Amino acid sequence: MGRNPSQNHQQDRQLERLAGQMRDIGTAPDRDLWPDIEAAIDREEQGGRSRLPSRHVAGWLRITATAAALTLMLAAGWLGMRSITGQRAVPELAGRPEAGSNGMAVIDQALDELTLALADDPENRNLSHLVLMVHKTRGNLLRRNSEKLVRE
Amino acid sequence: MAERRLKYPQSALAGENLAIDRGLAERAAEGDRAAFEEIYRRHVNRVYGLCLRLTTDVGEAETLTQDTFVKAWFAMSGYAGRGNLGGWLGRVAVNLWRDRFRATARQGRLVEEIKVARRPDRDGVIDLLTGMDLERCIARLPEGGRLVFVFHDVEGYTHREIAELLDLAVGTVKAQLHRARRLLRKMLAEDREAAHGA
Repeated sequence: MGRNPSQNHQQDRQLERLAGQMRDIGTAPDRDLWPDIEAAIDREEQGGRSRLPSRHVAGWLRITATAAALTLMLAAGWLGMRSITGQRAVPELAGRPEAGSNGMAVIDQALDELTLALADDPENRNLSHLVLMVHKTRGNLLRRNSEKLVRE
Repeated sequence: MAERRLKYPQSALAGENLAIDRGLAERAAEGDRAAFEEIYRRHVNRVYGLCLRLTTDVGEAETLTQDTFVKAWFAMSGYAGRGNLGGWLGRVAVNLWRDRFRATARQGRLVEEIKVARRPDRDGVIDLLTGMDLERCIARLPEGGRLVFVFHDVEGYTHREIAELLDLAVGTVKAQLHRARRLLRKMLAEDREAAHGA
């Protein structure tokens, strides 16, 4: 029996339709998760975690997070440029523990702020994209540091 | 920001549900725990279903679901009645899953080729297909194809959004989706054959 593209296409549409229905119906968990959720919320609140502020303040959080990420991107870009021009900027950074750890601390701080902002606005594609970029930058820095250590 | 594309027209019932969700979300954002529990009751199946499809593990899916609702409680003001509450909760779940997924450095597995047996597709494979059949087959897909299929066909993400989420090229996402669908058709045909032979 040969392939029939038209039938495959039709079946793909059927699959997509059924998949959409499946999403809306969902799957019931085997047990009620609410008691554990409520207990976790209580624990976090007792531990001092506070809820996100109102949208007005949350807007400022997003601006802060974006600014932090942009600063980081500029710094990363500068390091990259130096690296390209042969000045071995990143190995230098890796060779100086205080500079390397500071760089990582800046990245981690930006990630914290972005994650907080993303929790506030999970539909925000720009924020999501920034998180991805910061993760990539973090990975690159870690890899370069590791390569430097291996060379030594 | 533009709303996520809707695959299906919104019914009057959906509009009513949206209004109920918005009312509950407002109360929950002001600290009403009972309203938040109601949100949980209304959306736990959708969130848990998504978590189960992403992790294919009951324990991990339960943990991810719990963490999603805990995070949602602390970020409730971020929803502010925009769009579909179920979709917003789904986004929270996906963001949490992505952080863990990346943290465990499993993304390399995404580029694994889906091995598809070179057997011809059968006709009318999904005539009698049910959600349960499809759910079971999705769980059997290789990880890369499963994630792309879940995000695209189940959750309604665009190719580009999936590419950003999973750190893949758009072309790779399309290829993974194509292969995942082909594999699903094959699995469903085999299931059907087995059912007829039994």
